[in-house]
Amino acid sequence: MSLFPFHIYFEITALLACILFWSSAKDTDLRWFLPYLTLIVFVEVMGWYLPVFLGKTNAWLFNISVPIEYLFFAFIFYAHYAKPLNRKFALIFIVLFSAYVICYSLIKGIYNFNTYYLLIGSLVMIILSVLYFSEQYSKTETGNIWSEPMFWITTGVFLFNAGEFSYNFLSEFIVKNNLDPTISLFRLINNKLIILFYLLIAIAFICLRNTKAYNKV
Amino acid sequence: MPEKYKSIQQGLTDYVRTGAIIFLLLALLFIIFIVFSIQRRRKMILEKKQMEHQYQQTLLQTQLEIQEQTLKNISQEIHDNIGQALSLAKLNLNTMTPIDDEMLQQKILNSKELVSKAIVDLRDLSRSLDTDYVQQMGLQRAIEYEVEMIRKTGTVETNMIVEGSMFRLEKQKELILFRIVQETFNNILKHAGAKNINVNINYDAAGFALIIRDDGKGVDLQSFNRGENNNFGLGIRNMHNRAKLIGADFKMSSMPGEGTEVRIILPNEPNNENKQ
Repeated sequence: MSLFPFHIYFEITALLACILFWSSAKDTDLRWFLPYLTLIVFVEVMGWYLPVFLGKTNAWLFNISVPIEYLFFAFIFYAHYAKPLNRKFALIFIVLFSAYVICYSLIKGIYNFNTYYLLIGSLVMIILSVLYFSEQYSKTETGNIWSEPMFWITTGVFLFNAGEFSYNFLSEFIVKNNLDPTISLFRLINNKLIILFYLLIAIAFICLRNTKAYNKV
Repeated sequence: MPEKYKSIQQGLTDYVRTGAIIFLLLALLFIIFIVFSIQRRRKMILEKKQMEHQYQQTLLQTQLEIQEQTLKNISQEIHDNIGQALSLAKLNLNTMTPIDDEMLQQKILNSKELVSKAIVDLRDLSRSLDTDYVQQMGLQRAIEYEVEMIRKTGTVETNMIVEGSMFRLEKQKELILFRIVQETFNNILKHAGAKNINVNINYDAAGFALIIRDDGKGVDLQSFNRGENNNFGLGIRNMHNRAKLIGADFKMSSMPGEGTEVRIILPNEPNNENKQ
């Protein structure tokens, strides 16, 4: 029998890939993935441990980690964009979203999960991914896109958020009407997408193998 | 749990699940499309860069070859004409005797002519010492000068006809065309054993055309196409490739004993800045 839920192993795999290729990643923007993936693995393990073994709610944990995830990827996009307009868009999102999260947490507290984080976050992530792809299209460089770590990361972000979008879009309605009380529907979609997402993140680190001169902020 | 609630829940589950699959598939299709577009575009950019690099390389090579050829011409000119004229003038001066006035006058006159010829030759030569002379005087003038040089050797009769109103081509194109002309003349002088060379330049709305004909022994182009006579073949292939690089059409026709014709046609793309 498995120790953790299946999808957590893929998050650990991504973390291991990050550690394994740290020598190549440490001089790039991808170095930030090490603390991020460590945090994600910790949150997922805790998120699973709290209700299963201690019978406590984990909403507060995801109320903190979900905004961090979106902010983290917005920062990664910000660091990789070449066009000032795209960078500006990512930066505006980081500032406004941070402000919204802080205000919301101060006013309403962190013990009830805010579904708007998911809706706003996933929508902006889709936009940021499309902007990244459009930038890649207009680039005059001639390298192989398959060997670019950022391509795999963006693909992961795009697929994950596109796949979750239908749930996130209705999440407020679902929670209000208590239509998914055991969040089994959310788990059904989310856990499968997590597998795909972190597999792609692991591939991104494997690509670093041959990418010595990766750009630095 | 009421039946109605259960059916709403089931409907929602189906709806969200289907939605997730549809969105995921759409996203996947988008990524596939974007990746193929990016790859295709990058391939095109790479090809363009390679072509530009090749163009620059050829241009550089052409400039070097023109310089080399120019130096060869200068050396030959000094040896065959200026050197000889001055030697003759020196001989005249050495053999002057004040006894015979008439002879003395004739020798002075001859020496003056020889020195004048040497001065004219030197002036012509100094023009070609400037390695950018093709770009400065233009393709037509540079070809005229080349034809004149050949005529002066006295081994071949030359004839040049220009039709239409002259316009300048792009500088790089002129340089490459000039090198092709130089190479053609070289081939004629080295291998053809021709008595006459006819050069025909034509400017019209369709473009620029240049035809060089000789009445030499000709060449068996079939053997060249079969890959025999590699050195000669390489030269022709080189000329052909260079013409292709600037968008010109290069044709060579020849039969053993019937001379050779080289035809270069560059479709019109006049450089407005240089238009005369």
